[in-house]
Amino acid sequence: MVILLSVLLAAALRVPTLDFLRDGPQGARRENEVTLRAAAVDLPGALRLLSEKAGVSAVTDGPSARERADLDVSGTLRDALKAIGDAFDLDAGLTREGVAVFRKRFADPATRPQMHLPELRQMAREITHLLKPLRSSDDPEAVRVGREALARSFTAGQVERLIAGDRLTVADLDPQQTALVQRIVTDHAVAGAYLECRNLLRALEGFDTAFIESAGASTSGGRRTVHLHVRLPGAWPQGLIVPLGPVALEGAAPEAKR
Amino acid sequence: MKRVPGCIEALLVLAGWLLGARALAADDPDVPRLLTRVTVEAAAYTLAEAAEALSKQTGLRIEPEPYLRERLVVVSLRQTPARDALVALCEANGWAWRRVEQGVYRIGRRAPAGSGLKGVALRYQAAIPLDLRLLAGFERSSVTAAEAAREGGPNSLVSFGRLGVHKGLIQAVQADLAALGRSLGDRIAAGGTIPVRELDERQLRWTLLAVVAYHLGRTPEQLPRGEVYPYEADLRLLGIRLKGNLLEFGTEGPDGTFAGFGGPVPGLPEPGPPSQRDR
Repeated sequence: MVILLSVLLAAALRVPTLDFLRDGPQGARRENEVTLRAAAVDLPGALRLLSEKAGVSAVTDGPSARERADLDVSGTLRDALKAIGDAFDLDAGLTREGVAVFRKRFADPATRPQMHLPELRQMAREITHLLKPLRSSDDPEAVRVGREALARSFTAGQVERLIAGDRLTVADLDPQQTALVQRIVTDHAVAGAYLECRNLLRALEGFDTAFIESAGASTSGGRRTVHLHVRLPGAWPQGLIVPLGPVALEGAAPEAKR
Repeated sequence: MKRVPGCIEALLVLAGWLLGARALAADDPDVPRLLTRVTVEAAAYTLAEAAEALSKQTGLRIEPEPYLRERLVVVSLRQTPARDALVALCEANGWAWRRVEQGVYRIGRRAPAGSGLKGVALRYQAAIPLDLRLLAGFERSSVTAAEAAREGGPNSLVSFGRLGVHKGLIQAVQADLAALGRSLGDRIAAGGTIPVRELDERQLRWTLLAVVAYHLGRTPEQLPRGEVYPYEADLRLLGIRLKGNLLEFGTEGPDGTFAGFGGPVPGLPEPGPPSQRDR
């Protein structure tokens, strides 16, 4: 009934319900011949051309990794969208209202997400906020505590079955034991992720004052490698350390002293 | 008086409500403004700039959430109803626009509904910027869907432990670290220290991707082999077994293996010889 209500209400209020890459607007425009020709055009230029030649407005999720590309396509609107998408490593679609929408395709190894710091902070904040209340307690040992409580709650019959090598399922448990298993599974699922997200949030919030540092230089096969990390000054003696990984240094390693 | 059946009564109430809603929408002064045709010259804009352009032409106040203000979009609008432009902007970026009050609209993250752990997983996924989700393989683009399926596919329902287990993200981090190393040159020789505020835009982006991937990502090698995450599954499929002094929670895979998690419990006797089901 709720679904029916939602659908009817959406229809009545003409709330746009969209899927990416729909067939686009009903009508002939989609099938009209479109010709796009341009050399070394940038993404805004390609969208401008699309608007001029096909009368279609367009938006993307940001600049493309490919700064310029050649366009030479003559076909339907869909062909034109695909040509722009191929040229700038974007997936193309049309909203129901007929606006072209482009998203990064990531087929080109050089394509990257925007990594917009305020948005990433918001992401870490939301995830931390989402996971925090799911844990049964702040106790990092909550899973162990729950597991031991479950073991203590087993009846003699349940213990016998476990010892015999049988498996218990939720159907074999009483409601209290089932709730305990649910808590253990949730704690196990969430606890590690919560701690990671909390540290990520700390790292992103202090990012402006952080340092990139190198340590652990090593030489292998004539190449020098250092391990990079981000250090955030903080309450801890060394601050918060986020390892980034090994990086090869340019140039050959200095010869070892004899 | 003859009583109207309950379902018909409900439909009549619904019809009345819908008609009322329609009338309300028709009287709403925002509606014609949202249908104002807007034109924005093709260029890259911050979302705040694009929203301001829409605001000026419609007389509405359209504003992004603060965390999205400086995010870049490329826009080319020609005589397009403002509402359609908003829909497309949100569709391209995984955002939603909502009315805050009459004449005021805000663009922000989508917040999917859902209950239980599945609902949490969906909201978790939605909190991640769409372009990062696409790179990490949590969301399928039409073109990469076929390739992803061949690789085992991105999870439609993200599992917390598997975040970032996608070769695209890992390869991107490795490539970016190499680029960061090249661009920083001698400054990163052993013991080097570089304040983040001295990095240029690209170096900052490379570093941020590595930081996010470190916390949210896992390489396939970092995951215990064959581990499954029982919280993805229906609890009714969960099994509990004793192995040595370890009480384990998990599910049985199609090949008969039992995978999950567990730990020691004091006080339970050791089990007997393994049954045929324990492989």
